[in-house]
Amino acid sequence: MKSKVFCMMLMIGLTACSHPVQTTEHAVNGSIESKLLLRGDLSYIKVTDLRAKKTNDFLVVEAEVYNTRNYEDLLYYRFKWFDAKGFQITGDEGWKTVPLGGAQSQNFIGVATSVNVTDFKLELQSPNNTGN
Amino acid sequence: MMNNTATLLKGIQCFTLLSMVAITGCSTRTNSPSLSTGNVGYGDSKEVETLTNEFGLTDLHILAESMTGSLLTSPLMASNSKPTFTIQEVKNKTSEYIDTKAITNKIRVKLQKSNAVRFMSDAEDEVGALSEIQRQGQSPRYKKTPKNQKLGKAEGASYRLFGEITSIVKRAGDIMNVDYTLTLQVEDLATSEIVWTDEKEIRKTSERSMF
Repeated sequence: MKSKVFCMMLMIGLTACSHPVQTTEHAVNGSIESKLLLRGDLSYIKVTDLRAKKTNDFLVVEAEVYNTRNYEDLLYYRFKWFDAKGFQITGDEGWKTVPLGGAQSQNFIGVATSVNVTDFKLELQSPNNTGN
Repeated sequence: MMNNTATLLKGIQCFTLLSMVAITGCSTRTNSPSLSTGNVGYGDSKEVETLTNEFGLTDLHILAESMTGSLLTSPLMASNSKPTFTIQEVKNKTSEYIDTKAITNKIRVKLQKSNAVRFMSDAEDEVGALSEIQRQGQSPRYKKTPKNQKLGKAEGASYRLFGEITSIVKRAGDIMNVDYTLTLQVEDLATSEIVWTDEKEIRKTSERSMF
């Protein structure tokens, strides 16, 4: 029964969104845009993919970002983790950086350190944002 | 003449009143729950700090999060239900002073809060625990009941978590490059097999200012 509900939620999520977050075994759903918390407008760096899965019951998210310009750029990121009731758990992560070469794609991974995490947001900022 | 004097007196009264209001107004504090000279402030400890190229809190966050995530999602954790660990302080093999107790503590806190592992006393904790048991045993203040017979009941750890941080420093003109590598390992204490290991690298580059 639990798995049926889970599959239904997953199906609704994938059908409703044009750029869905790819998931395998859990109830994370929604578009990539719905998972982003942007500080300013990311003018030159695009999030091209978000993948999520559960490993040993811990939610693992992999993000793929792409620098659309031919210049070096920098991206700041951190994940926020939420439980089934929408409460943020495990506290705020420290900000991390991803240096991006011109026209370069980079992947980075976040691991929720609580098995109660069922959802996430990816907070992003770049020094070359517009609207900083 | 009388009118002039009255006007003057009224003026003095008004001035005194205004001054008092002004003085009272100046001494009134705002609604802000802070008392500050303006030279000291609190910041966000989670932001990326690059004031110098020395090891800092941002590096600590990056290393601890990376290593914790790696261990929790490793096959070792898949095959064990809440395994017991003891942790040894990360060794500092860099050329700079780093309080590696902070790295060890950060990793232990994150792992413990995951509720996926259990930590037993490390060598340092052991001294404190034995001293406390001895103090309670020798003091007439405590009841002597079987419940208080604490020795010989501690559970040993199945795994030992240990590691070291190293660095490579390179200078070229005004540019300085520091590469930190934290390597952690888990040893099965029964078999001495290294059952998990991972490393995380951080590169920090700085340029000497002209001024």
